[in-house]
Amino acid sequence: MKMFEIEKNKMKRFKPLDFVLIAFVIVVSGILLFAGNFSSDGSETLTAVVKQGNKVVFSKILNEIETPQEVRIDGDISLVILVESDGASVKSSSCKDKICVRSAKLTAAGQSAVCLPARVVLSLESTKDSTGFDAVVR
Amino acid sequence: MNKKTLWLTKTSLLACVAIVLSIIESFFPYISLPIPGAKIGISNIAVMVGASTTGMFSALTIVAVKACLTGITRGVLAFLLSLFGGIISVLLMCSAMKIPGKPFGYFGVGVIGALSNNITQLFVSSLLTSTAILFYLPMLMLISLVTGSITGISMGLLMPSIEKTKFLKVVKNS
Repeated sequence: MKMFEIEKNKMKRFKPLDFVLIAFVIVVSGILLFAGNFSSDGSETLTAVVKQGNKVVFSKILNEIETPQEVRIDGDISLVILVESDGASVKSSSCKDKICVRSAKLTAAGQSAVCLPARVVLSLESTKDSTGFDAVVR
Repeated sequence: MNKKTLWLTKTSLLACVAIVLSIIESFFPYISLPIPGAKIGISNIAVMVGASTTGMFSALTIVAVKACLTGITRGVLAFLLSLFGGIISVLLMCSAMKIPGKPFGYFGVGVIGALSNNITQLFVSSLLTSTAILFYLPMLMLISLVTGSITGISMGLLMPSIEKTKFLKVVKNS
């Protein structure tokens, strides 16, 4: 490493603090991941919720679905969302970058697929018991 | 040569490099990651070179120019994301490089840049859509580590050659 220490006040490639930073980030994201997984234990019922802007335009409890269902969301950019009994995904979108289409199928509570140009968010929410709310109207 | 002209020339040159790098990056095959839209962000290398050679305002200008191009090609939302992510990451990278004693190397600065850029973009998009996407935060942090390492290491390999050129001399105390 001596050849990089020509000048004292020069930036180096690696410094010990870099690795401290990386270890810190890994620990924090590990904690967040653990906390996220801990909060959903898989036994609750999942609800697929589609929001356009701040409005809920579609919501369906996944356990009640028998055959896969396609939902069209119309707007400036139209999307087709596929809802199945074990998860939900964005099947197609008329936007340019198709980021939401490439996201994997959502299967656990808290996951979401976002189509930013259309301001549409598909997310899975957990409902603790089936008599609770099934839609939020604002 | 006039100092202002020189500054403008350097800044616009680096802005061009940043834009070209981001265009090249858009040709990269999509790597299937659990996070949609995750990119390596190689154009951040040009921003980092700007931040460490011509200074913070130069880097901020580069980021703004790049955001405008993103806005023209991909819309207002992409403009906002690019602008806020870029500004915050430049401010944090510059402060990391200005700490006396230089506790961070280029590797660490690259990681800081990628992390702050991605986290800011996630928060801005959660403000624009819904807080549900904050679920991505831990995965995004881990991916930023990888992408930030790539840009940081390339920066570390690049800077010794840049310091030898007369045109992009490293500004003292920056």
